[in-house]
Amino acid sequence: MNKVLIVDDSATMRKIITRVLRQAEIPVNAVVEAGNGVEGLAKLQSEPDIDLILSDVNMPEMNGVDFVKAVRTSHDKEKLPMIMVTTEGGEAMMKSALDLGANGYVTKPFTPESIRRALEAYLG
Amino acid sequence: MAESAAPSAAGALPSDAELLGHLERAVDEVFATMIGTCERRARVDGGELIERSNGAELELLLDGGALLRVDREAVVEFRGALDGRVAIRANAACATAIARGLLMSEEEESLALEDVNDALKECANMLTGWLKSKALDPLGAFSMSVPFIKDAPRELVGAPAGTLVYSTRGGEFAIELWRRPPSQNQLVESR
Repeated sequence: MNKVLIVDDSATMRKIITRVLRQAEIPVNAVVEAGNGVEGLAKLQSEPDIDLILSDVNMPEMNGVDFVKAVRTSHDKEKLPMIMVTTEGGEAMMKSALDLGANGYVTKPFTPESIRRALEAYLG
Repeated sequence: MAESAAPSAAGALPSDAELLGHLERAVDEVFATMIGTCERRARVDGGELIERSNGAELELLLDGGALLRVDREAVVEFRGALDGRVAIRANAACATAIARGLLMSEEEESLALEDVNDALKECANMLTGWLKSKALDPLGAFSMSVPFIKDAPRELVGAPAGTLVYSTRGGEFAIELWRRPPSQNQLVESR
């Protein structure tokens, strides 16, 4: 069973990613949503069985870079797969996220195939 | 009305025509990948677009007399070696068609106004991100604003650096590129 946490300040983008996961036939059984890094950390506390995080980079409250940092310094989440999702123009922040321990990234616009390629190593 | 321009020298700020060319490629990429086909109907270089208010909508008079009605715009601003903004302007039917494409939504599924506007914002975000990556980042550090919606008719001082007009199954929409004149510190707008 795979449970994915989608962190994005756009409810529409969270919906799009959820639909693309389904369209790409990625084996995801449950999706949990959060609107920023702070909410994402709360979801990780309340739902400890999350298997993978897909996170936006440019968000209010706590951006994706700070979110990666917070997750990676958490004693039981240091190995939780984190894939960043960002626009083409967010590459500098994305590089920071990767340096801090994110496992990969997908740039918007994305296809079901590009999402599948980014996630396939982490979801059984 | 110029369709293209010679590339600027390395390190020089890109011309309006070059930026508009990047924006055209961004539209091709973003729509083909995530939204669906759209057909370019017009490219207006410079401030040749004329607006007039018509109640809740604005009418954009295009070259040749064509008319485009819009009632909202999704905007992303960028700042760096040059400042400006990208705005997608559409009416309800066209914005809904764009949202349906992005959300992979069937006709029978109703979409809330928030979903439609959110989709338009995402579209503006992806287009500006593309522009930033391909045309602006090589010039130095640039930042992008969070996308926002303006749904009231506006009165802008000045004129867009360029406008692209496209048609979808929901109607026509415009993508404008605004660029801060070098002599001004910020985009001048009366709200």
